[in-house]
Amino acid sequence: MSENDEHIFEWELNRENIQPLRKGRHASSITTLGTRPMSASARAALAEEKMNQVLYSFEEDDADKDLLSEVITFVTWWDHNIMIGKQKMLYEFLWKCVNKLTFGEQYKDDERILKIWIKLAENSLGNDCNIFDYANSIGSLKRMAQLYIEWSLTYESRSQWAEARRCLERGIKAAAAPISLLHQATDELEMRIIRRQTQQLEMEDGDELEEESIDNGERRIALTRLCELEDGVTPIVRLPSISGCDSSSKIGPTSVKKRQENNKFEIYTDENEEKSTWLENVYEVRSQCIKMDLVDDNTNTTCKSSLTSTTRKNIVPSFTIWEEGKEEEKKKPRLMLRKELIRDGSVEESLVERYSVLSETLLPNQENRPKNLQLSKADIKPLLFD
Amino acid sequence: MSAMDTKTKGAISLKGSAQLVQEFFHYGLNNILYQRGLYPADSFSRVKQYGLTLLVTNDNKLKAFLEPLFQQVEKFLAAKKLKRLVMVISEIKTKEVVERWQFDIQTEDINEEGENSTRQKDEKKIRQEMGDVIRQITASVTFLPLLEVPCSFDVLIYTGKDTQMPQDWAESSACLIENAEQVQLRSFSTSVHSVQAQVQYKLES
Repeated sequence: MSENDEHIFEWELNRENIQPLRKGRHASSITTLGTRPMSASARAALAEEKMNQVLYSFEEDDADKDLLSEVITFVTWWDHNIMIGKQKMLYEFLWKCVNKLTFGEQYKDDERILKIWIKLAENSLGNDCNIFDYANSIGSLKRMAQLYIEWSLTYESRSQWAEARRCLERGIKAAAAPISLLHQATDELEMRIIRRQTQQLEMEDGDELEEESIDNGERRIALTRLCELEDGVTPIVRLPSISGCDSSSKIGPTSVKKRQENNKFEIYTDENEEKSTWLENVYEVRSQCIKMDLVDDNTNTTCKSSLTSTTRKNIVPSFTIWEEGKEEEKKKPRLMLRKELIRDGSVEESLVERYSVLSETLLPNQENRPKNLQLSKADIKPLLFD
Repeated sequence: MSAMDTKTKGAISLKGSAQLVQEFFHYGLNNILYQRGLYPADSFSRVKQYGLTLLVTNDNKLKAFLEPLFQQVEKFLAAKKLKRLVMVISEIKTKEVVERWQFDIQTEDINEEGENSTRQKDEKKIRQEMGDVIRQITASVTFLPLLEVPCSFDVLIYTGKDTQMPQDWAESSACLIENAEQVQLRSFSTSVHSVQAQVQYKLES
C-alpha cells in the first residue's frame, strides 16, 4: 500500500478519539482528517473565530436576521471539522446561545432549537437529564413530542425507568404533538423494560442453576476419612485412613486399587516395595492409635463415657509388651511339650489321649453335661498349648 | 484441512483462496452485525482471529441463515463466479436502505488443477490484510450514523449471467441509496482473489 493510501486511512488510527455522532458524518470530513490540511490547534482557533462571529451577531439588533439558523450552521460545521475534543468550548458557546435564544418568544417553539438542546445534552458530561429539565422549565418546545422522547431516552440510558416513563407521561399531559409519536415511544419503552427485566431474571436463574450444580456434584471430595472405632467414635489422635467403596477403613492393596479406580486422584504406590514392609508401617500406626485410646481412659472424660466396656473388650491389641527373660521362660516349656509328644508317639495318638483327659477334667460328671455343648478343636487348641 | 493447498511453502490454489475469502466474509459480516447493533450484543461470543478479538453470533436462526450462504459463496469463489457481495441494512418499518457494505471481488485467471493452478503469497500476510479490513469496519462507527430504528439485513450476491442459483434464492434489485455518502475501505488480496471493500450510507441533511 502506498504512502498516500496510508494518509487516506489515517482516520482509522484516530478512531478512539473521534466522537461518534448520532446522525453520522460526511465522508469528506473523514478523508480530510487523513490528509491533515490543518493542525488541531489551527482548527480550534478557526472554531473560536467562528463562534465569536455568531456571538457578535447576537449583539446586533437586527430583527430580520435568523440567529438560530446561524447557530445551527455553526454546529454542523463543528461536527464535521472538530472531531476530537473541545467539548467544553462547544458547551459554553451553546449555553450562551440558548440563553439568548430561548428568552425571546421568537424561538421558544421553533422545532430547530431541539438540535441545540440535544447537542448541549451530548456535550454536558453527564448532565443531559438536567438540560432537558431546564428546557422544559423555561417552556421551550413545550408542545413538541420529540423533546419529551429525547428527555425520556436520557433517563432510560441510566436505567431510570420510572423517570423515563414520567417524561413521556408529562408530554402526553402537555398535549405535545404529534401525540401518536409519544404513544409509540411509550409502547416501545414498556417493551424494552419488559425485555430487560426478563433478561435479568434469566441471568439470575442461570446464576442459581450454577450454584445448584456446584452443590450437587462439584464439591471437593475428601481424600481420606477419619479412622473410627465402633459406634462411630473417633479416636483422639485422628489419623487418615483410605475409605474404600464399602466404606471400610481397612487399608489393603485391593481397597487402594478400588480407590484409585473411583477417584480422579492417583495415589502413588511403589510397586517395587515389599508387601510386608508396606503393611508394617500402616499397622504400626493403627496400633498406636488404639493404644492412645486405652491410655486416655482416666484423663479424658468425654472419651471415657463414650467407650463402653464391651468396646474395650473387643479391642484386640495387635502387639505384645516384650520383657527380657519372660519370653524365653514361656516358650521353653512349649518346645519341650512338643518334643515330648513327638518322642512318645505320633501326634494323633497323643491328641486322642489329651482329649480324653480334658473331657474328664472339664466335665467330670458325664450325666450333668449339657447335650448341646460340644467342644470344637478351636476351643481346645489354646488349652492344649497353655 | 489447511486453507493452503501447497506444493511449496507460500503457494495458494483457487480452492484454498476461496476458503480464505469465505472465512473473511464469515467474520466480516458477523462483525458488521455486531458493530451496527442489528442483533443484541449478548447474542455474540468472542473469538480470536486475524490477531483481533472478533464477535461471532450465537443466534441459531441467524447461523442457520448464514452458514448455507457462506457455503454457497465458497462454491462460487472456487468456480470463479462471484463478482460482488453486498450486505444491505434497511429499516424494517419503511424498508428504506440505510447502509450498504460492498465487497468487489476480482479473480485471477487461474486453473483449478495442473499448470497455472497456484499463486505465491504468504498466508500470514493474507490474514494480516484481512485483519486490517476488519479493523477498519470496526472503526467505521466514527462516521456512520447511529441506527436508531429497528433494522434488518440482507445479502446480495453478484454473479455472471450463466450461473445457476440455489432454489431458495431470488433475484433482487441493487438496493441502492440515493445521495449516499461513500467511504472506501482497505482491500486485500490472496493473489488469486482480490477483495475491495467500501461502505455507502444515508446521511440526514
